[in-house]
Amino acid sequence: MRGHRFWVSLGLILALCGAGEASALEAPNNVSSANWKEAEGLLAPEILSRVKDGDLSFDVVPATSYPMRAPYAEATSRGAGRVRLTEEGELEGYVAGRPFPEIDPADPKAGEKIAWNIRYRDTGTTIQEWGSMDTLDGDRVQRSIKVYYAIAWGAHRAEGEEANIWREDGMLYKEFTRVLAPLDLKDMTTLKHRPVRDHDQDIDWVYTTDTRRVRRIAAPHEEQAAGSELLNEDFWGFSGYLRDHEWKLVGQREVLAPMGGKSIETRYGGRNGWYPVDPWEVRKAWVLDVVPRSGAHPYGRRRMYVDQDTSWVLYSIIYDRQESHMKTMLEVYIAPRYSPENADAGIPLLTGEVMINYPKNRATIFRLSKLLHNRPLSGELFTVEEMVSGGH
Amino acid sequence: MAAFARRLAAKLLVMAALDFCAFLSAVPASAMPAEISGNLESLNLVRHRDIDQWAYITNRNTARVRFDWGWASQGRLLDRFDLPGLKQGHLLLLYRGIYDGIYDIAPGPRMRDIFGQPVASIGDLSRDERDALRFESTLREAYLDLRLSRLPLELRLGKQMIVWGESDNFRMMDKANALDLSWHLQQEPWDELRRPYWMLKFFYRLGTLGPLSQSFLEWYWNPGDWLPAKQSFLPRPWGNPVADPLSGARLFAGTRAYRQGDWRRTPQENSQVGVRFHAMTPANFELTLDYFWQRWAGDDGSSTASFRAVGDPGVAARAFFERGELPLEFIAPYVHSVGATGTYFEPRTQAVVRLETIFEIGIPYSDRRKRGMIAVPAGACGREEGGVVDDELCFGIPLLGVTRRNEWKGMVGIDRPTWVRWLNRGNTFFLSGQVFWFYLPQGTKFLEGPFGALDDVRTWEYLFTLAATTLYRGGTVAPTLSYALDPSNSWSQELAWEIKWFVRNDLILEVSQRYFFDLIGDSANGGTEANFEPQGLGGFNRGRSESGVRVVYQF
Repeated sequence: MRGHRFWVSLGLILALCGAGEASALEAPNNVSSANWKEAEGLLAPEILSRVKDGDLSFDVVPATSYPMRAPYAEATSRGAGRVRLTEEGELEGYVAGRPFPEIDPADPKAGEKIAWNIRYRDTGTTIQEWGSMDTLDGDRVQRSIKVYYAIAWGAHRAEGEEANIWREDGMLYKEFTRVLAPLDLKDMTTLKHRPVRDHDQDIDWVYTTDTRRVRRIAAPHEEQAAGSELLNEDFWGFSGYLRDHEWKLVGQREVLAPMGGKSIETRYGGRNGWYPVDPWEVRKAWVLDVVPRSGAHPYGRRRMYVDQDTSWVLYSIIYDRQESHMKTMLEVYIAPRYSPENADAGIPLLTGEVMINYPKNRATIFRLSKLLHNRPLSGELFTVEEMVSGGH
Repeated sequence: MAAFARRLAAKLLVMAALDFCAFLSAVPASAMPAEISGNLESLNLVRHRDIDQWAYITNRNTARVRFDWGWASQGRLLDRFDLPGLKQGHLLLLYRGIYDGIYDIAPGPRMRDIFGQPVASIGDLSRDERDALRFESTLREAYLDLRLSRLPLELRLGKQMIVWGESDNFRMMDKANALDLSWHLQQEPWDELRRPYWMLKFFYRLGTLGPLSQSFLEWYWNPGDWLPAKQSFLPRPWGNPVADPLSGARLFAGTRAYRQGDWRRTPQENSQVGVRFHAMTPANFELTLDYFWQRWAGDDGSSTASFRAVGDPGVAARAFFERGELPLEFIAPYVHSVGATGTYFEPRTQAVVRLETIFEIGIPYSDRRKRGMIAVPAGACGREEGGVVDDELCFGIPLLGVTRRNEWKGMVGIDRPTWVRWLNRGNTFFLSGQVFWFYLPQGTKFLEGPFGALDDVRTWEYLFTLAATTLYRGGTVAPTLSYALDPSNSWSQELAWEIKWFVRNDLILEVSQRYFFDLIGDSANGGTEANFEPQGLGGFNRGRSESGVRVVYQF
């Protein structure tokens, strides 16, 4: 019996490690208004129409393979079949890895399970970013906020006990952001503690330079981040509470996504400079409809495309309550081999996020200048002490 | 010999500077993350006493330059040399230069005092006075941050500000730095008003202590570089709404009003200390316990005394008749202050509750029972015969002694991001309300406020504030509305709005209006309608409603 479990586990690991096989789908080498029809089956209609209108064009490169990193694959294998969703909507029996490695599209809970896979996608242990959040009115940059951002996960880590530093505190991850420029916001710092339980509330603080004090705040997820086109829950494709949304699997398909760049400094171009124009590649995606449970949420629905290999969000098409297309959010990734400092990361490197609001003719672009994955970060960074002692 | 020593010192200094430059030039730029930032700002204010009475009262032009240098990180100096015992080092310098153009423009209308009487205009200041007021050039902050590697201890050494507490726009724990009240209290942020001091601040991370997490201990020592709150008077447009009652007067024992008491600025005679402990309970209640031993700065809104009549009639007489000193002393006595703060996020209402309270022991108040007496020689002060008389006989007003009182102050505030979708569909309105109280448990029957005989001190006072702010257009338009009400002083009020527009990333335009009003009756205070409220609302700022434009270019 034990031998049988071993072979099942080994088979699953091999299957998972091979999950990143390159797509065999035929795709044009370049997509533009001249040949938009060739990409008809590979782009969401809302993106395709922009290609057709000449708003963006891009090259297409072969898909990158992202085999699961060994510890994540092993943890996934160990947990396979042992994780279940509770009535409340939390996970039971989950330790680490991908909670639901096998998704049955016929399962009425498939959408919710994919949501949990997004939440527990392989991220490594820490990510640090130096970048800017630019808000554009048409093609004019109205506000550009340079930030240092750090996130560290401290529970349900596959990397071993030493990585689960916040398991006792019940914290899944902690985020620290410090504004580097412009001067009116310089040294403003935010801190977020995200609990493991999806039904628990985040704990948020902010240090503002005009008051020189750390202040506890309530940060609504459905609010625009610093007035930008990104909601607080839009970062990373989605970082809100799962409980606040209904997750419905619509299907699966191959799509073109901006994942073929070769530099962490993503190039943007097309209409108003809003679109990532580094190469795109074909990815196999889950297609979800994510509907906010609250009628007061600014979105009526997100159609979210999630990479099946990695569970990272590729992009979302966002509709208002009248089902009109409102926004498009694109997540930009590169393969780790194109970032020498992160060559061993083993996962797609998120190098940019774009949120385009078509009715308002505005966009917010998050672009990177430096990225570090899996560097040890002291727990001190994610504390009120750090905000107080480092405040200027 | 002295000249030789000076020349030698100068040569050594130049050589050291050249060596340092050569040393820096050998260090890769990436190892010295230094940064210069700053801004240029122009603030223009028009005061409108009534709808048809306008006066240009501010043209303040400010340049700020900030220099940041992370000279050590990860235990290495400039990424080249190991620094045993030090994990991180940072230098911050902040310069502020001011040109107050209003003293050149010198507009004519005479400014009115708290009694509504015209006093003087800016043009009445002498050329020398205006020259002295026109420019300011100061190094506002200059400190080194040192993070030790072997101890969880961080030090901040140098000229700095220290801000504790939870209150917005009111100062209870925020008392390490006194204020410069010669600036515009209503129009400038605290950061511009605080007087930075040379201090030593220590920060010790305690981490988890039993059930408490995120614990730290923070303490500071000001080794003598403390100054009291700076004051100004009419016709300077932003200070106290009265003419300087002590203009030109020499005070007792060489003390100087709002500058220097009977102490030396040494560690022995002028040290100030503060300490606080911070922690978070398992229920996510965040708290601090605070203690201060400081001189009383007189800038927290209480109606306290800054002067004390000389008690001994003989000493008063010698001071006045022999040295020409008014028998009145500027004081800033030491006060013990014990306080606590707390914050709690309430998940059902999505509101953050803030608390702050402080108990201060021995605050000075003028006491009507302690009238100053002076031994008058025959023929002085209009008396034919000598003798001990009330100060009022000689000086026209009674000079009062001081009584020390304890005071309990507190604040409860609630912050809540609130959707008002018909006004803003993308962002919440950040609503913040605060209730303050001030209580003198030992009574106030004989106490007198700083504006004289009509200025009574109350046992209980209250203040309510409400503010709302939100963001529009990608965070480039930020309106704020604020309101303050003091029901204990004839419903004294302030209503203000401002809109900040980030025209470009480097250009900010701000327009604002402030209105001050109260409900004091026509016959109040002897028909003067003067309202001696202490919070800087409709009484103190009677007739000082203002409209302003601020333009900031930042780099």
